[in-house]
Amino acid sequence: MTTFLACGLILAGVGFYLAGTVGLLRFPDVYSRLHALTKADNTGLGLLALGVALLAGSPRLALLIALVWLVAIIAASVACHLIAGYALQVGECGDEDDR
Amino acid sequence: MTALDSLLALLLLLLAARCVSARSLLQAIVAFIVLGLLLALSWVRLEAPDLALAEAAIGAGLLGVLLLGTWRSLPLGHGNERIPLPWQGLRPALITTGCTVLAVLLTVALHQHPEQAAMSGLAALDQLDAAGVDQPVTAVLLNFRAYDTLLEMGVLLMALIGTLMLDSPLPRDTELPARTMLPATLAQLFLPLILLIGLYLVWAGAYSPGGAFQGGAVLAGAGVLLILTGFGEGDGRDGWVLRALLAGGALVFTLAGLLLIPVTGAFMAYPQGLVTPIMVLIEFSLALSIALSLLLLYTGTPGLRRRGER
Repeated sequence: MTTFLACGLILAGVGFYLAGTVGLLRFPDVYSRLHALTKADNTGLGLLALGVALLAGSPRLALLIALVWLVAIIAASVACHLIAGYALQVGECGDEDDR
Repeated sequence: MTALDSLLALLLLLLAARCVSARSLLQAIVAFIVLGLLLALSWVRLEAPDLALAEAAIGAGLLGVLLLGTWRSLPLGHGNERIPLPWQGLRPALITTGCTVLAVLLTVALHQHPEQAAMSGLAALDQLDAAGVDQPVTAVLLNFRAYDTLLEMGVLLMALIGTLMLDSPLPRDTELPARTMLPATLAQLFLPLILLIGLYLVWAGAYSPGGAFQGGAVLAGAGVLLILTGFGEGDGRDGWVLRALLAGGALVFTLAGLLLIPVTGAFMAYPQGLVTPIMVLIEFSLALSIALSLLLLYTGTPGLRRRGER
């Protein structure tokens, strides 16, 4: 039963990742791409971490996975904030990487 | 798992090709960082966690920061020109041919003496009890082949001295614009965690994957975070404490090897009872030296100070 639930969670997480990646590739500007990437990936990572923690089967491992999830989410939000702030400052630069 | 490994190998090749054929320098750097991360994953798959940790911390982490820092201080518009493909021009063609020949020769060399390589590994495992640490990789690095590790530390110090002697050939704007600065909360949140992980990695080197190089690189990462969040910055002057810590790794290593010659009769041989404390002492002084050298390579200055301090 637990394995079944874990697999479901991991599959749902992968689905969120897929949606986020499609959004990154298809959305028109920096902000909506960031929106797609951070929202979908954070949820995806959460579901994935939950599934893996269920499969791990030990409270200590589950706690460590939760810590990894927390640190990854903080790092992702900060990176998103930085990129959005930079884009706002210098304007959209599209695909060129001129500074 | 074969499918996963094949996918990993394929991605590595694609990213390596991307590194040398990217449209601009920035794209090449980003491809190189991702390559480093996937390389670390490959080492995990090959059951070499020590190498994976080193590759992730130094190869993908610090080297990426150094490359991006260099790219940032290039003059505007510089480095945006297209990198020539391997067959465009004589120099790229020569470099490509040279690298290919080297790769082929290395592969041939690897396949000629597989038994001997395995023998030395078994010999090291046999002697593990005498090494004072339970982790074979650390035993080889700090005891059986201590001389190599000492010289590696020397190479790192030489690289730092060479960089400092160049005296910043690129105009370096140390004042980051406020917008691209990392929020200070990030340092306050992550610094205790990073310090804990770095010190744990150094300590854990005695009995599980980890060690001076991996731990040192993580500690250097903490320093980079402090600079990026605006708590610290590079200083043109250095103090004797910093110099002592920088030289500490090589000094402690050499002194421990020299001072015990009368007892053991050989350079870098340690007496049976003392071997574990000596290993730990060497490991921690090495880690501090490595962390500081890597951090100073990043700032490009001989010293460090708190931001705003003169």
